[in-house]
Amino acid sequence: MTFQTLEYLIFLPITFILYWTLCRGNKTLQNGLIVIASLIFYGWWDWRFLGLLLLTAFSTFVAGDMMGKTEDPKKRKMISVGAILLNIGILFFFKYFNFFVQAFIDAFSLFGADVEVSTLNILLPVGISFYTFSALSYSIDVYQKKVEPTKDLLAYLAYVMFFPSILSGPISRAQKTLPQYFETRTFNYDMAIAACKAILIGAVMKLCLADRLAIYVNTVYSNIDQHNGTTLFFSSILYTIQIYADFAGYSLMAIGSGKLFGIELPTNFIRPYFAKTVTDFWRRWHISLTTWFRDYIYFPLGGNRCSKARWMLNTMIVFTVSGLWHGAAYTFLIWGAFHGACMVIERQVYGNKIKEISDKFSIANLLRLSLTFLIVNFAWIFFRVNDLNDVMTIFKKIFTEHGELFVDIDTFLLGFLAMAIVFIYDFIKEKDLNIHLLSSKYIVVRYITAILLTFYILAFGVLNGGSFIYFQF
Amino acid sequence: MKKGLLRFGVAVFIVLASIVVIDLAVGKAMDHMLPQISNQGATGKTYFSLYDVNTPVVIVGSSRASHHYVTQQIEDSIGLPAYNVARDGCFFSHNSCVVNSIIDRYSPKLIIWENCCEYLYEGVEDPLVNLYPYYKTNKWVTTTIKEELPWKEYIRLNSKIYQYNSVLHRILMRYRSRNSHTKETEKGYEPLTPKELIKKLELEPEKLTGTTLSETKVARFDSILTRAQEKGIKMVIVDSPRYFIRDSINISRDKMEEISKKHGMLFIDNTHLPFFMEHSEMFTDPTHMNSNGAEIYSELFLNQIHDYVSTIKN
Repeated sequence: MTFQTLEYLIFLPITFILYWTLCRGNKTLQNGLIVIASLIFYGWWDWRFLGLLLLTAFSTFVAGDMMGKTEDPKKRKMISVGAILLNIGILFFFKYFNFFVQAFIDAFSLFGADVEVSTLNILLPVGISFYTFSALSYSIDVYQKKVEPTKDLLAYLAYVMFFPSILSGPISRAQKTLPQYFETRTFNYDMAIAACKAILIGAVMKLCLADRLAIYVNTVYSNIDQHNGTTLFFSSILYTIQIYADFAGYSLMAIGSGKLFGIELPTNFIRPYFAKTVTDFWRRWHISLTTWFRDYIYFPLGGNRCSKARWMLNTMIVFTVSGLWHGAAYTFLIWGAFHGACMVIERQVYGNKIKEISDKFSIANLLRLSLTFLIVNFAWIFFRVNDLNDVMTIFKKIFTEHGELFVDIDTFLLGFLAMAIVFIYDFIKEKDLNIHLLSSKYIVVRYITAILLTFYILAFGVLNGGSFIYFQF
Repeated sequence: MKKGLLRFGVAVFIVLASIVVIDLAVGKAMDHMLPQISNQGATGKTYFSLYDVNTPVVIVGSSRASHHYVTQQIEDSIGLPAYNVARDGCFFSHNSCVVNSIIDRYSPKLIIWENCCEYLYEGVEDPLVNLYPYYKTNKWVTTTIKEELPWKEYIRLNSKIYQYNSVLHRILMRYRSRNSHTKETEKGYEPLTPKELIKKLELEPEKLTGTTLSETKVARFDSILTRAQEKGIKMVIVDSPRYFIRDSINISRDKMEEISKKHGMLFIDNTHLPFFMEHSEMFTDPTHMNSNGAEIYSELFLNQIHDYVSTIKN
């Protein structure tokens, strides 16, 4: 069950009604319902992995509880490391075992040695990278005494397993999100309306834009040999837009679903393609993951309060790990390292002035924006392809094989219409213009906009399309 | 809180009620426009195939049929009016509805049904999306959708707008220019202009996508041929050339042949005709021949069916 399915369209209102009627005014019942609903939601995909989810939730809860019972720093450290090793171990086994076995074989074959190690046929539990990170943030925060260990198991389970964010985030952080489960939630009309707006916009982004562009992008990328450089370059741009619409659309639907239950999930995207530098891009793209890496890897490594060389190394480590987090493949590794390298180069070029780039319209800013888009677009090619051979073919063709663009009129017409809607929505938000139709002061305008967007989804959305791109991570 | 919840419920109800009203209104408008664009563009071609085609010879199938069978050559050879109602992306289940709807309306002398030899396998791609506008109005479409698609899909199909999902704009545009419509195809045949391919086609083995037969599809195929036989309609079940090396063991093809023979219909598997395997320049991709290939193939195909159709003019 995912957000764009009919099952969710049935599941969400039922859970919502039960939550605000049967469980009204009772924190335990509210958390209990969230846990049950989350187990159904997750188990709908594959019930066999529920055990894994519960293991992560219980192990981190117990670790937190044990850390709370001792003041001995050594013991606390051991418990914390134990929880991290267990959960990272599970993540590693399911996500990276085959990759590292293959890398091991590849490394030996470079020296002419034939090593026979068999890989395993492992199914990746959906959402494992996301809920593991949410759970680990609790263990680490308790260890660092940023968060009090909780005794409320139900609240903690609700925090780790909250169904809107379990599959692909936003990655919740114990410090900010967990306390919400300790309070009884009361219904807030404005919050519920904001939730519906977020879900609506998210659905337009996913169903009308991302899935529409996916039809073209998948056609081209599944037959790279038969397309020229012009089409491949154009397709790479469409993928850049597709992945944003897909993941930001998903995040908005998750945040909106959370709001419906009175839970505020962290913001995940702030219009990333308006970024003027790659550094700025990472302040806007997948924020919940970026801040996780910042707080739990980058800062402990020394952040930028160290020598320049060390800072460069820290940046490269964080981005390479971020690449690997996305997927167990060389293409993701290169994607991450490339972004890290871009940030290092930017720092060299701009120095400390990087923070002072204004938001005002200027030719220089327009050029910066375009350059950043092109760099990010270039990197997304690594993200989309199946292997490095495809990357080589694409780049070769882009620079040498120009020709007629492969045209799919429906994708262009409907995709560009949706693109215009999303661009206008983002532009208004970015420039903080007070002309948002869904938030208009006129009630009629608000209703008409909501109705038209719903109509647009029904009429032009790809309602039987694929899953969300980030589910594979 | 109760007040807020009630207010929220009312707001949601207003939006949903408005959507229902719009859904009905748009549906009515589309139902009115669709017949008026019959045989105009791809959407109109499906309407035409279901409700309007009335020639004694009809060619049914997917893009492979619309690009491979030159209607004029068929007309000239058989001496009867013909029409190619085949459409891109429309496979077995779609065409079952088309053939059944044609048989309901009249008895053509000959139906040439381009049917991929894999179609009777379970799990072979078989989209029905082009039939969604007829979900409530065509009994064959209703039955097929309920047999083939998950419950979610036919729940969604209760929305009129969803029935016209992604084709609303096409119908509107066609409807606006319906009076100035010019013929875009050659009696339904859509030639592919020969072009130089970026990468020369190579003969590669193609793996069959299915392994087990679909009982539903086998039964449907049998039932269509039974109906055609009862009405005295002759049928040629044919699979045209591909630029692939295909597995010789294909139980779907064997079943198709067996059922065809049982009902006295002609079955021809042309997928491996040596001439086409030696001429990659006749193809635009491994499954579609260009107009040069189509003309040669149509001639060859007409020779193959010559004896079988020799009596239909009477």
